[in-house]
Amino acid sequence: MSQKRGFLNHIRPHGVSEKAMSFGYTFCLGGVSFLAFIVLGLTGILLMFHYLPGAKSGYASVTTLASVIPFGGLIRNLHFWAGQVMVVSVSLHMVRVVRTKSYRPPKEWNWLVGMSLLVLTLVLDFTGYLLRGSQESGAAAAVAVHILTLLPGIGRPLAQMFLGEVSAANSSTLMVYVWHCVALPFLALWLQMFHFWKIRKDGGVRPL
Amino acid sequence: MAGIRTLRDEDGCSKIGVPGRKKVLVRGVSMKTGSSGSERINLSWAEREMLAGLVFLTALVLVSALFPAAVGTGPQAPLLRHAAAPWIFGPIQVLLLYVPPLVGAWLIPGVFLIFLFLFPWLSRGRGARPAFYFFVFFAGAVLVLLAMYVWLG
Repeated sequence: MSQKRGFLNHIRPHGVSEKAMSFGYTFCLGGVSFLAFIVLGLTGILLMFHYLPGAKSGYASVTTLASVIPFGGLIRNLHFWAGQVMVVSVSLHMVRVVRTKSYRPPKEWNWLVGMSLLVLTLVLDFTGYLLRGSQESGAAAAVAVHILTLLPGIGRPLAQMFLGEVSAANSSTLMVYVWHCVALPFLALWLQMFHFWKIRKDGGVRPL
Repeated sequence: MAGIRTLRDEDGCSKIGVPGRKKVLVRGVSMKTGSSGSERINLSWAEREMLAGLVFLTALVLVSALFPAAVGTGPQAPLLRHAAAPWIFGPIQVLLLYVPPLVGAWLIPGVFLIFLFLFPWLSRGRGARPAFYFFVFFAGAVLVLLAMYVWLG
């Protein structure tokens, strides 16, 4: 039988090893992380219909979403809780991989992808926090800019490049919005697809 | 996949086998096994994943309905005198209380992150046990700092 090696044949294989499917082995943490990511994507698109970044409009649209738009509160809550779940599940997933020694060759390169996804998840969570546009978000933005500018030479350009003109008075800038809604999610999605493909590739599955 | 052969048992259930080490696969479609009267349905891996997903989504909707996400303090409200970082950066906020900013915000988290990225290579051969202990130490430190963040408010 020919061994098909395409992306879909690895994502949707004919069979998966019993050990890889056992709850006690994975605790579904990788799957939960991905499902949380899908929920975040869908609810994020719905939130984008009403959210307007800006010094005043950011916070105003969040409160409108939470209290005026039908089901807006529920959608925002889903987005928030899915984000928190994703941070926790990705972190626990990393601990599980260490516990089961699943980072050993040939999986060490996939560990790097997973670690990049952990960092991306944290940055996504942080930029989402900034988009709330509250005073707390403003304080977090001011601290982030200060921390970035601590780096000699490259700190200020980095802060300008990633956060734009954020300040304590305005954390909900267009740049943070684009990072949070477009650039980082698409990068995370692409890395996740590669991560899953590599898991199957390294783990031994029977293609369709 | 050199050296790996695909096998089938009497029920048509596929196996993947490396000589001397066989791995049973969970099929892509569900099937019934056992004699009549004691039939048992073996769920496919896709069905198992779907079940786990449904349980997760139900729990997420329940939590979202019961616990609304905070909107924070509006820009028009009186200025806050103290603002806590989002909990994911709570450990860094606690570190910044006790160590210089460059150490608390860059050096310690940077060393931890580099260690994590290089973990598979650091834990090879004789380095396996020390690397594991370092991992436990760092993970424990993050948990302690998180607890301090919650405690300090």
